[in-house]
Amino acid sequence: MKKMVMTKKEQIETLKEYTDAFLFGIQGLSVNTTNPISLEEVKKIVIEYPNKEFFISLNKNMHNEDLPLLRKTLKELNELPVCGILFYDVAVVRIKKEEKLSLPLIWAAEHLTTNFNTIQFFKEYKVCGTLLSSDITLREILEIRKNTEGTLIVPIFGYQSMMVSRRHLLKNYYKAFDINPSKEKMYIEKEGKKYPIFDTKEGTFVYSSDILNGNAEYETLEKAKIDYVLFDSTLIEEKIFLNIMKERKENNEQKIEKIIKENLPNVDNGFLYQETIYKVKK
Amino acid sequence: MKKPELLAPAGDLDRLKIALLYGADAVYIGGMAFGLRANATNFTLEEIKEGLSFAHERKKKVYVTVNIVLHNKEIEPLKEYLKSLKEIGIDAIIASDPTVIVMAKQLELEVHLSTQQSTLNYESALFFKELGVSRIVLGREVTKEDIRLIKQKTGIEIECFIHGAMCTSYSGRCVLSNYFTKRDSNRGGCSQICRWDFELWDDEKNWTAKKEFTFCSKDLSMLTYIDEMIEIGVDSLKIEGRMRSSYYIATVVGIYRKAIDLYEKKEKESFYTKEKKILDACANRESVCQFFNGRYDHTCSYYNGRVEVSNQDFLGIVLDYDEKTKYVTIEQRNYFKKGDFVEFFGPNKTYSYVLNDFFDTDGNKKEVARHPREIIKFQVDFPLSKDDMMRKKIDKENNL
Repeated sequence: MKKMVMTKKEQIETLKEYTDAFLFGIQGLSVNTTNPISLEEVKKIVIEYPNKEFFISLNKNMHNEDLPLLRKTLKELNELPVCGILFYDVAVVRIKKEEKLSLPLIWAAEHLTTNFNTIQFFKEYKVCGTLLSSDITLREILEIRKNTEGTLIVPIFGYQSMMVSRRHLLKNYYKAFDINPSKEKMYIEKEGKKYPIFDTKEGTFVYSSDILNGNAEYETLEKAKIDYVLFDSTLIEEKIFLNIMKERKENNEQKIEKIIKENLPNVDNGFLYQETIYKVKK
Repeated sequence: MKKPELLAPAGDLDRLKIALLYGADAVYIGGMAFGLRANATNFTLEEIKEGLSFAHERKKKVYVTVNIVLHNKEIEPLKEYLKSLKEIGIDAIIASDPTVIVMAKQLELEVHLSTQQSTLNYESALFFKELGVSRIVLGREVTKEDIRLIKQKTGIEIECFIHGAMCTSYSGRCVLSNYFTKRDSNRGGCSQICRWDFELWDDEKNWTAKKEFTFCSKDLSMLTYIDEMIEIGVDSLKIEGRMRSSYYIATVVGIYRKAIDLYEKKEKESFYTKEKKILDACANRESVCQFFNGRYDHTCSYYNGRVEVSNQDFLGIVLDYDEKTKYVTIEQRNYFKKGDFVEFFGPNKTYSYVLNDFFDTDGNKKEVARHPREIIKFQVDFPLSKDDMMRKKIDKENNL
């Protein structure tokens, strides 16, 4: 099982020893990546680090106006040794087919990648893998592995996306009250919990208050033949993240838990052991 | 120019009938499973059959939502459910998960693509058209130009929301409810966290403003844009609100029915003035055009607090009208009294009236009707029908 990291491009050098793959978003075509890079930067990185795997996230909901840039980007990425293109919008699938590209596609529709049947459906469209939703249980993940072929990526560590909006909710709020905040990092708070919120060119993103920590299930996922586990360093102090990745390489579970306990008070297991409900009993 | 379909929501059989009687060409409903309003009343298979019969007698249609995002355990029971819908003869299902679409197509069910897939561009639309969907409910974030281009490039039937509540997030991309209440927004359990108030801080714990932050957007209303939507080729105009009341559905459907029928007619301006007031009153929420004109700024959200006081405009529903005696029988729905200015409305009718003497079922004269659902009788000089409704007159001074 390989490790994949989403981080700033400046961190590649520091983290390269502790991870097999990196995931980056592209400016203008990805969301939930607070450090998207340009296509030119992708070209440099893949040359500079030929022994690492690079995955590119183009996971934005595409509007008509995005299609020309998307098409151009896909064609250029096709010429690079990228290991996978993570997509949300099926426009990516269609354009790949139209342009006869050989790019490996990974279905990454966030909260929609939840069952084995639909994952197999996309296989028919030459989609070679899936980034699983972070709101399914461990049991469901294992069921999916049992019932699918293709690459599976499981989020295991990091803040998780809760919401993506086209609206500029912070900017609109500031406008409504005629205020000029100087800080970029903002949080909304409810019942003592803080949820990071960003307002970018692509819209507003809101993250979970707690960092998902699924490290305790690393071995289980590895035994089940999950292909990649994803570590997201967004909003996590670089030194802490690095230390966790160092211990992860050594599979030193106790030390990982110690680092987390001492430095990150807001962690939980997400939905690994907790099923959501949808029908309220009357 | 071809008139688009007016598509209304129906949370139960009564509301299905009201929607169709008041002018909807089709309704969309949820069954007991697989729909995104798991906590609505919803329809049993028997009720779907009955609703379908009612609709087909009037040459109208019924679509059933099967639009949840499936988890593994839902795959097996899905096929049986779709088979049942096929046997009943429903006109189409509304689906978002490709598993549902493929299974439905294998059963030769017509499929409409749910807004949960957030289709916003023509390439995605073509993908699903090639998969066999016959209609796409576009994501709410599309502009007028987006709609025009998608229609032009794909030729597929396009359905757009025209009225009702708006999600703040891209559909399918919000799990606020999952995190805050463990209720799955993509399987029908959304607890509308976007309507909560929050405190907004920077990372030095400075409260940005002394006003709560909210995600809450105003409702959508496309009343004054219906002509444009018809001109760019929208095939179906969809009203949101399977959990809304009969009164809301009757009011909104009736007004949009008139708006469609008045396409290109000169009476439009005065129609808008009156009907917009009625629409705003019945929903208790402000409504704006939202993304259609490419504008989604602070005027589309609630930032200064909102007060959603349940309005008591809906006064009663007609149970019966005797043409000989001219007595109408009303089931009370909110307090009213002698002397109140009221309005009766129904499909293609509106009458203003000042309440005079009225009586209970024993013939006793009454001054007020204060008991929920009490039955009241009185005489009126105009013809009424079962399921017509009575409401407060919205604007007595301007006779609106």
